Amino acid sequence: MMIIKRVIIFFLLLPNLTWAERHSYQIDSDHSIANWEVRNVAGLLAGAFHDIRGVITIDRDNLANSRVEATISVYSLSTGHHERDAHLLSSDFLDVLKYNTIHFISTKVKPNGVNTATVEGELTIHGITALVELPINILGFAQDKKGYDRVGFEANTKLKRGDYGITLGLEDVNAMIGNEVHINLLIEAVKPSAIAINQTQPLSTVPKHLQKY
Amino acid sequence: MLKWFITSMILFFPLQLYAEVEAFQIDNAHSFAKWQVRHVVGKVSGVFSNITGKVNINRQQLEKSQISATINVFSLDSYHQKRDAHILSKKILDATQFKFMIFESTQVVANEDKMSGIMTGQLTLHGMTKEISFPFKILGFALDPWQHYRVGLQAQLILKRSDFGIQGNTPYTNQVGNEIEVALFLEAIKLSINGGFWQLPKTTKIDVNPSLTNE
Repeated sequence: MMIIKRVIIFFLLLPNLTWAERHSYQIDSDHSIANWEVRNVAGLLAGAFHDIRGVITIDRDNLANSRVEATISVYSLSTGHHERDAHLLSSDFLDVLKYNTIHFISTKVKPNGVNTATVEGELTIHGITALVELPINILGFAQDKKGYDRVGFEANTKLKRGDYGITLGLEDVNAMIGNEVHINLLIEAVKPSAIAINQTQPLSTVPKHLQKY
Repeated sequence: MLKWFITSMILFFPLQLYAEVEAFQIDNAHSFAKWQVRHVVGKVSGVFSNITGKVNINRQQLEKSQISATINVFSLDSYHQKRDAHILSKKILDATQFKFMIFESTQVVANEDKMSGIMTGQLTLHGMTKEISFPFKILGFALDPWQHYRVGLQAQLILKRSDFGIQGNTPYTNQVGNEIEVALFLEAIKLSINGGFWQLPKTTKIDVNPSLTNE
């Protein structure tokens, strides 16, 4: 009996010993969002993608040992105006029927401090992959009310839509829609067990209000 | 293009010189009040997209400019229906009782560039009125494809929800931050004297990318 107990304890401890401080978190799509803004005529048009899935592996002792892979459903676009959403999803811009996801995979993590890092990776939008650098802030680690471990991130960056072949109106000097897109990423990720149900759902597809387009 | 440039110069220069106050109507299809609040360790963000109101801009004396805006609380979207319902419920915004957020500016202090400054005004939220102050920026003025004249505005501020009696009587009280980071993006369309939208006189022709007109 004693031996069996010890063997069980050994196996329970094994993963902790081998992976030390490297923990995997799953992005909690209910609490994660990709906000963006782009110039429209004189003002700034604000929108968001809200269906983000993926896995973040963090080594808190050595951030360089961390990695991230995330997928955004392009269908989860929202600008608070259905007709505009439909136009942005059409072949004029994001061409969602051909390219229904935005994908990011990290290639290198360069720590800049205890809670900041620059994540280099390949970003695929509109079928075009480009190398980008994301300056990331770790907002903190904590347990939620239900006892699940959570980690929060924030990242701000700028992309040029022209780099990803989304060029409508760019050749015009007096373009109504700007080239530069401000991005604000808010990511909350949780240790896998917590959101198992949530994550098994497929990425969102055509929302009801856009089906008529 | 050059022709347009010259005609618009001729048209707008006298306007800018003589029209002291320009009245604009907020375009609620292109105006957003975005917000972010701490949730456990991350931040959750959302938007109010139904904003109406008027902006009076005096470009020569920016401090004589005014803004009054109303946000429909039911236009809240945090991209998660259950959360939206929870935020609109009695526990947080109590939207059925307090349908609108109202802002009336009382004072504008202009920076030297006359395109930015500090705005002070009365904000009514959740049935409580408080004076708030925040920096703002005029992003620019431009003609749209319908020959209407637009102004873009941006402002950023931090509100404490406890100042407006939103204590968040929820099981997650200590998991949701008190400070709300707000980012305002407004686009407003110029009004003519008769109250309709000001429009570039039809005699002037402008090249407009046709694909941009059918939004």
